[in-house]
Amino acid sequence: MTQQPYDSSDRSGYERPASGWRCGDEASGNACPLGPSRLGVCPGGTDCQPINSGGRWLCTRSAARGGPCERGPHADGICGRAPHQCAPQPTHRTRRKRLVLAAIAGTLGLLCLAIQASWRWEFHAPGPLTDSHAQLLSASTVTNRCAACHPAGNQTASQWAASLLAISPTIPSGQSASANSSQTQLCLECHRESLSPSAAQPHSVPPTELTRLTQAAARRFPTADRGAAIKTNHAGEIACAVCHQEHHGSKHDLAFVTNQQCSNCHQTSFDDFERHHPEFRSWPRRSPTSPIAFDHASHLGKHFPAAKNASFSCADCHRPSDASEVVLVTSYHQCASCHEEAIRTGTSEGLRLLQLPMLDTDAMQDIGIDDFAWPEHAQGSFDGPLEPLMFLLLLADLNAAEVCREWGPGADFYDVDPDDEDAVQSAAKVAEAIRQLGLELGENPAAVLEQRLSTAFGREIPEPILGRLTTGLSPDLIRMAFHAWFESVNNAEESSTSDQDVSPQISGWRVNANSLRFWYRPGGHADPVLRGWIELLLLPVENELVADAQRAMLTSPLVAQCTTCHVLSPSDTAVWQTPTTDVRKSFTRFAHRPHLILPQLRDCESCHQPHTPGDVSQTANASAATSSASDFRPIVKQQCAACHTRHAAGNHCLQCHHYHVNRMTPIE
Amino acid sequence: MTRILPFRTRRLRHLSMTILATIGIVLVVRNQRDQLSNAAFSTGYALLAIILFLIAFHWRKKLAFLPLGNASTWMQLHIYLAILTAPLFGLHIQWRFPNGWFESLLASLFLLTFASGVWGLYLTRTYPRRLAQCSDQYLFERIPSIRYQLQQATRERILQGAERFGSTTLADFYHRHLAAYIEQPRGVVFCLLPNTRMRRTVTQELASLNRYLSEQERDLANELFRAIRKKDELDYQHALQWTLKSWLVVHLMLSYALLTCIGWHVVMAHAFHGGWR
Repeated sequence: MTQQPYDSSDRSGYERPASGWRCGDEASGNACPLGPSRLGVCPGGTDCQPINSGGRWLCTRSAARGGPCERGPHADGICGRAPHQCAPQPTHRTRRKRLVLAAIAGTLGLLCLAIQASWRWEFHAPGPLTDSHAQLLSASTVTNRCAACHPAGNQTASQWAASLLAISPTIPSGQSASANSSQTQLCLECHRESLSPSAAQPHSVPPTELTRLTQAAARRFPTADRGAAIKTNHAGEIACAVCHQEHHGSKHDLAFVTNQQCSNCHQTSFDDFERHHPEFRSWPRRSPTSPIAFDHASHLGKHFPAAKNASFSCADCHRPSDASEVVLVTSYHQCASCHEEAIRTGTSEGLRLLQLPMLDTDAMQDIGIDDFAWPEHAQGSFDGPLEPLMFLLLLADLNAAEVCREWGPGADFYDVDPDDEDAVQSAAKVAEAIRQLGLELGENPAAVLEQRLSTAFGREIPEPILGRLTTGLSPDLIRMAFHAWFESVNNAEESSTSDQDVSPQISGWRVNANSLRFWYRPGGHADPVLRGWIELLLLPVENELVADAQRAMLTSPLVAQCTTCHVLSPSDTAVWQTPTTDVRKSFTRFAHRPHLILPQLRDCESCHQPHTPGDVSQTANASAATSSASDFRPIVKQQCAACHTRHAAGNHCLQCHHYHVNRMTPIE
Repeated sequence: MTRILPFRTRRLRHLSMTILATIGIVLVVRNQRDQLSNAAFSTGYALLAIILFLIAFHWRKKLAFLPLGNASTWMQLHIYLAILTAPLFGLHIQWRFPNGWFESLLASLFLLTFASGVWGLYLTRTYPRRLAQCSDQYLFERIPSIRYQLQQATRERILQGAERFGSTTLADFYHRHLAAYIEQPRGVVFCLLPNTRMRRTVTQELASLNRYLSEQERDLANELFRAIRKKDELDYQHALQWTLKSWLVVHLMLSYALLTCIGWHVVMAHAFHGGWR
């Protein structure tokens, strides 16, 4: 290897790689030793600059341009040759600088264009939405798709920059209100119908309930060292985007979270189903959405063999649906063959609206109550119960309410002491109130029931309940009965619907002239009046006397005919039937259909084994402890863990658990 | 006196540190994701910090008068931190190439910048050795001038030969086949993939002319052979040095375009990320 030989005649030997410009004559080997200026202008340094020496003008042309010329300058000192100026060339450094600046300017220009152009949202969108969201936002009415989910979609670029610097952006008054909302709030605006009010809380569970569950878990797993570490807002709510990551394509699973992410908050880690998941203690539970308390064990072991002499087959009532995973329950007709007769017999006493008590008119006269109008054959010793419905109606009577409150529900005139002046006075007040009630009912029974029950309950009675309770209730019938009782005292003319004329099997409102009773005879299962009466007793009220009366009346034999099978809870709208589709989400779910594919699981009893007679006491205890206890033996975890391993059927948390619980309806 | 470790040992040590840092980052990000934290922000800001440091190497060269450590140390940090950005970038995008326009542009710029860096690393490790193997060394800035001198000298010798030998065989050959080769610089394709095909072609053509030449003309032809060889050396060195300089231009252009897009990406990410804002 040899170094490039040094050429002493090369006047441009000193390279200036850091300079911005180079002489344009450099390539031809005639580079000007001065070089171009910083701005890339040739100074013409090699040109002749004539000098005056002793009165003569001398040429000073540089040797790089051929040295002094023969002709020399003109007499006036002006060079006779045309000036030579090169075209300076940018050095590599200058070219690099220009290209880098061009790259920055080009990128900035593209971004500015992208901010202002009509396609700016498409350009900035980080990726396609999932199918469901994309469909909702593809409607022609949606003008700004981004703003549907992102508050920043209604802001300007400067406001975005301000939010980066944590400067509170000012939302112009003309902009959408969503600009002031958070993204999570916008999510919940659309999903309000499908999620519970506590949707953003962990598991959509209200904070108080979550605290209770956490404390229970801490008691069960005292050595647990895990705790919630997720970033929440001041209310302890988790942003939707923590778990639901959008813009990952149309088929992206928005609900996917890993087992590790699930166990992040939990008191103990559930990294692996077989080894870490706690043993099922009471699974399966009775469905919280099912209002029917069906005792499988007693039907299997006792009722079916004894009464029907038949085998108890699961498939008689439960059939897998083709359309969904839900196992359908058959209707009441399946039960009617055994239960209908018992229901009719058990409800034959009926619901009494009016019942005239026996009054001791002598005792009343003794304290100065003369000529008290009362049917003659209802006079004698004090006797007769204050019927529940009548008691509730009398609570709205100003004269009798105080006495009723004193006597309480379940009072009986038999308890009135004829020698006690105050007691007789009270009995007379109640009797008068009963007569007044009867007269009012004879005018407009529906209005009287509504007005009096609303007054007594201190709240409005729902229209459906009143409608059911007054089904078939005729004011004429009540009026005629009263007329017969109070004016044709000894020749009571039975109405066409009196007990004597009507078959005891036919349901309806009736008058019993002998016992001076106006009552309703239920017509067996699902009788509307009886249903209305029970729903009235389930209405939540604040009045303690009425609430006590409701509780007492719910235990009556008449109501027990229904509540033996129907598990009802206080509510404005009692749930009587099992929903055909269970739309509510509980924490744990189970899909039967994938399991029924396996031959060994097609027999229901391979998993669901009813308690045997020996387990009866255990079952009773469990039932007493919790209304959700099942009448089946608990399934042990190992039954599931045999297949549900990581590499077989899977052991992902979300296979069996919902995150958002109590989902009511799917989003429209 | 500080003992300088062998290059192989240093490379092994630095690579080990980079792998350990990668494992650490993967564990931290995994832990963040398990805790349902938004790891995209932590990986994103880590990437931004590293990229700023990598670009600072450009400014470190401009600010040579400041005591900011020697360029060799900066270069080593530049290389291994740049390697670290690859797994960090993968974690940031969750190993899934984005499918939005802007994010695709951003990811493409990153990948191109990274690729240009790898290309540059290869060039700076191999081209200087290839340049050192050449018989003569030329400064890049002087090559046009030397090429011009070579062209002038060759043309002058051809004219002198034609006058002296009374034959225009070589002069005709020069004008038909050699003038363009000697006088013109080579194109970008040759700069990127330097080869001897052109030199071999003109050399073979000149050799095939040999039987038509007189003794004196053969001496002149030998001078033309030397001129062709020198021109080829000039072209070869120009190509290697041009590539060495040009990859940096590409790398810098991509780096600054990437940095500009990252700035906008940060603004967008903060404005549009989910949560309670």
